[in-house]
Amino acid sequence: MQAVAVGSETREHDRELAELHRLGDRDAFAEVYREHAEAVYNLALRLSGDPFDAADLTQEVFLRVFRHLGGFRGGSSLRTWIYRVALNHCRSRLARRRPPARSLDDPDEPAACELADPSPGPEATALAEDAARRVAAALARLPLVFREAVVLRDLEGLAYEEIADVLGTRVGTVRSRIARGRDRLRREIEKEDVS
Amino acid sequence: MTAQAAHLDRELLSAYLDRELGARDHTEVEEHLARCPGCRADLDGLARAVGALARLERAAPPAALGELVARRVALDTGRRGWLDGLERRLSTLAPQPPVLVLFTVTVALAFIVYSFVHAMDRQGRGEVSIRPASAEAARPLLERVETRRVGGREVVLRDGAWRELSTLGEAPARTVAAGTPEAAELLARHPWLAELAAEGRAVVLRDGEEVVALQPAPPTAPSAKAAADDDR
Repeated sequence: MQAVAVGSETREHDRELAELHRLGDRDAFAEVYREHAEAVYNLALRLSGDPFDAADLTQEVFLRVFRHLGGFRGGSSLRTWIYRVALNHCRSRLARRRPPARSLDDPDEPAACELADPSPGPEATALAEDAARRVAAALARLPLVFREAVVLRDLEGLAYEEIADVLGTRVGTVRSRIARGRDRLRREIEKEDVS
Repeated sequence: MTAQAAHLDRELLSAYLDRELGARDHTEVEEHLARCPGCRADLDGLARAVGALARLERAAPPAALGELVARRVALDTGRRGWLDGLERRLSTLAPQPPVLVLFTVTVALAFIVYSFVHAMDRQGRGEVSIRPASAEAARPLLERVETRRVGGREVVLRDGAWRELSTLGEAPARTVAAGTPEAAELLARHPWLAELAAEGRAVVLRDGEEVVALQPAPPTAPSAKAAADDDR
């Protein structure tokens, strides 16, 4: 699990990157991309359930980051700020498209986790792939508000306070959404196991 | 705090699982769990959901994503001059250790100097003639890649075909020939295609879930009359 507190060194580094970007330093944006591309891509992947949509979303998110990074003042960590940009963009894009749920009845339908990684490790046995596919599908069926909270907590490792900052809501609401999201996810998975 | 209640609500158990409770609440929940099998079962259920999510491996972003982001930024901002440097910077996700970079540069320079001296020597002996490389090969790759925005979409000219950026690296699932009813349907769904299709090049696009190639109509055979006209 990642550290909850954001050190003053990190904050200073974040502000410095934003300032350099404001001054036209190309390396600053490249560094921001290097540091956060994986997180943004994985967030988009788990919210959209589709690796190709995730790649599109990631491009668009970083375009927004590029446009607005100069305005970042360090009120939160850059990580939180980028998650917020990413989440808002994913929300608006996903609201306009089809539901992300995939059918579990279609064995040919690859799970997002498979497509995202063209070179699966040796542990990626058929059984594990099937389990991962079921979990990805169950996650995709959660209502977006619960999915966001669960993904930010259990896959991205953010603390409750950081999630509240990203979602623009209270810690109590975050706590409730995570609990309800996990509970629904458990029921979805159990339902699949029984059927 | 509801730890004294008959059963704990799942919200409390979930926060306990995440160690997001204060010390006092945490202790009270632990004490309750020690004497309540029902709440322990609920906690196990939540833990199973968290454990199931751990099966989802983190995915590495596609290798070409950095290049696409750089291109997107350059297109959007109109800063074509940014493209070369930014693309190079974003395409290398992992920073290289300085020693490795220094070693690579040294070896590359040594090889270039050796090759040059060797070539001059051979040329001096009349073994080879040095010709300038073709202009096409000498041009940087980015200059040969044409990008365009059509109907709000960005397309790139690759291997003689216009491709939507999001289809790069993917083989088309099916091919549709221009002039067929299927092509007409495709054009109806994607009116922006018409402009590109009129150029006589193939267009690769994302149609819903799949990648589709629209092939241009083959050149029509000259009619007998036209051939006769040509003969005259």
